[in-house]
Amino acid sequence: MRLWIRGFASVKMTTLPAPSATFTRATEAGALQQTRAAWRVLAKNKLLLVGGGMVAVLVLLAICAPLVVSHSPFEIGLGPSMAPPSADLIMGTDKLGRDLFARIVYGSRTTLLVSIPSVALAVIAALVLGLIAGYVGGRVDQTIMRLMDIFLAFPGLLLAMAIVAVLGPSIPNLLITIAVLYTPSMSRIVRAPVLAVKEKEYIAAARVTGVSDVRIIVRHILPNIASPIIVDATLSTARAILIEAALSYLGLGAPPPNPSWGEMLSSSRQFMTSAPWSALFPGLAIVYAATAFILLGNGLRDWLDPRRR
Amino acid sequence: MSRYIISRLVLMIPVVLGITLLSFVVIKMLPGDLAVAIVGQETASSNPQALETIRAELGLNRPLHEQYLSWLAGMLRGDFGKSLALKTQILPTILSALPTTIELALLSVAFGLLAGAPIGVLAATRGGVFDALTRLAVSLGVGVPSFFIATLLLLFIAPNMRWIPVFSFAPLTEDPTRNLLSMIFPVISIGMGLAMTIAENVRSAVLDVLHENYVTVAHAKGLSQRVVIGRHVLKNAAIPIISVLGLQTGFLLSGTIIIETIFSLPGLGKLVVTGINLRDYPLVQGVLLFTAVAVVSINLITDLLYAFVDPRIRFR
Repeated sequence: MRLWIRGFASVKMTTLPAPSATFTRATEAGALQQTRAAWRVLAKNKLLLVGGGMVAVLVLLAICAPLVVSHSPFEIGLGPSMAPPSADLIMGTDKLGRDLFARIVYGSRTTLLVSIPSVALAVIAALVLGLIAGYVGGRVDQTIMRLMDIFLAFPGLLLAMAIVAVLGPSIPNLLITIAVLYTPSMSRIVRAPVLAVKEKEYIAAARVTGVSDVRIIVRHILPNIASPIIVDATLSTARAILIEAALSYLGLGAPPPNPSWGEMLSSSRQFMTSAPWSALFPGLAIVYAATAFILLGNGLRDWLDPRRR
Repeated sequence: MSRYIISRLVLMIPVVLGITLLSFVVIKMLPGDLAVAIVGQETASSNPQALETIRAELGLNRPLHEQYLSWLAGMLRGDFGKSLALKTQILPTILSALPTTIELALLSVAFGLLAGAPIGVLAATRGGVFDALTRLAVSLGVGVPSFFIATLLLLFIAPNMRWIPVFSFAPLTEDPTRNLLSMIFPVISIGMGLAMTIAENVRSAVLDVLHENYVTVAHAKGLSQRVVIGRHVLKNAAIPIISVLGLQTGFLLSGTIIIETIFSLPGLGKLVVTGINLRDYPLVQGVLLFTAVAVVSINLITDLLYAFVDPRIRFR
């Protein structure tokens, strides 16, 4: 039966008349037009351009950190403790006389090394859980989603603090913690469109022609849920940056001497009146990084959703 | 309606059980021995007998599922156990910290609504430059963490406004003026982000309603813009705004943790940070469980309110 349908389909395909030359040229021109239109929309999308640019600068800074700074972020006693900004040390020094500018530039590595992989991990976990829940349905769906509800009941920062306290503060543990934090809400975002797409006729058609479940998921369902996941992953990266900063502000972040913006901001508290710059620069770095991903996420949402253009 | 309430309550049972299980497991996974933490490292090595007594007392030598069940039974009786560091009963400690956190959260919501709602309405109805500015402020505002706002307030505003007390909290019942004044900076720190979220949601809720026929009719009747917005638009835009506020509970509690720590306000957040720093795990476990159940209950109440306001939801 299955073979018959397949054979029938392939026969039908081969008996279709070959596209005429004019038709091909017309579609080529159409494709070109579409590409141009896409570029025009992209150029008009200021959020996407600004956000993308800001993220690119951040990533470049993290990669090229050694080329940007003239001092090591770990070297103690480069200047007096809490020195004001000068020509050599443009953001001044911290409590131990380390170059604050170098620490902020290197801090971007800590931030990105925690936030991007943790969100990637959450996306993978959410795809697996959300696809299974949505596609299989029934009891499996109920069990998985109730489990996610349990995690969602805990205030994010509180759950993160408890997990980090259990695992111990280190970069891999922060990564796992933040992934655990964002998996539940993301798996909901995956599940909802799966439920909707699953009922479509073309999925039923694929199933009767004997296409395997894995292939249906990869070929027909994944493309439908790609845009909401891309948007949410970008926005979650911003949230992950803020949570990482909050955890390290509370002393539960990457352990010293790793430079971390939240820790820099919190340790500047005792010197705030005498050295306000020591609080301003790390704080602005956090705001910059989070805003970059928020703008990029909102821009992507406008770009990927034609209704919002 | 009563049927809807009962079905929602039944659905809540597995979630609450799951919350207790997760709170139990997280703390059980901790490296180290609770009994050693109680008697201290030195006593533990010199006097193994004392260690065993404490283990037996706490039931730590029983199988895990028995420990969980007896812990759960204790919770149901309101016995959250004793804090290691503070040497007090956990539930009364949590309850005494609760009013400060609730006050901070409610005032922050009030600030968020008072600042955010008018901005959202103006952005939706005026449009143009004001709308563009609001949208810009919203996307920038969400990326500013509450603890940085707190830092900026302490840095630039507090030194010029010495009449606002910082770091010197007084309970509401003892010195209401001092209490409310000392809440100003913490409330602004948490409320700013909330105001941005509210402004964004009010803006889109109002925009959705603004083009409904009944709004056009209200205008055609000759009602003033103010009356149309107040009577017809805001009333209908209120429902999505209520649900957004309900969803912010977790966010609010996260905000209070860090802001209470910065301004040394004796609330739940400060309590849990103290608990984590002093490795007082029964206390952390208690706060974890307490807040999660509170969040679930608040979500339930918002859902019920929502169903009460909008009958369509009950029959879905």
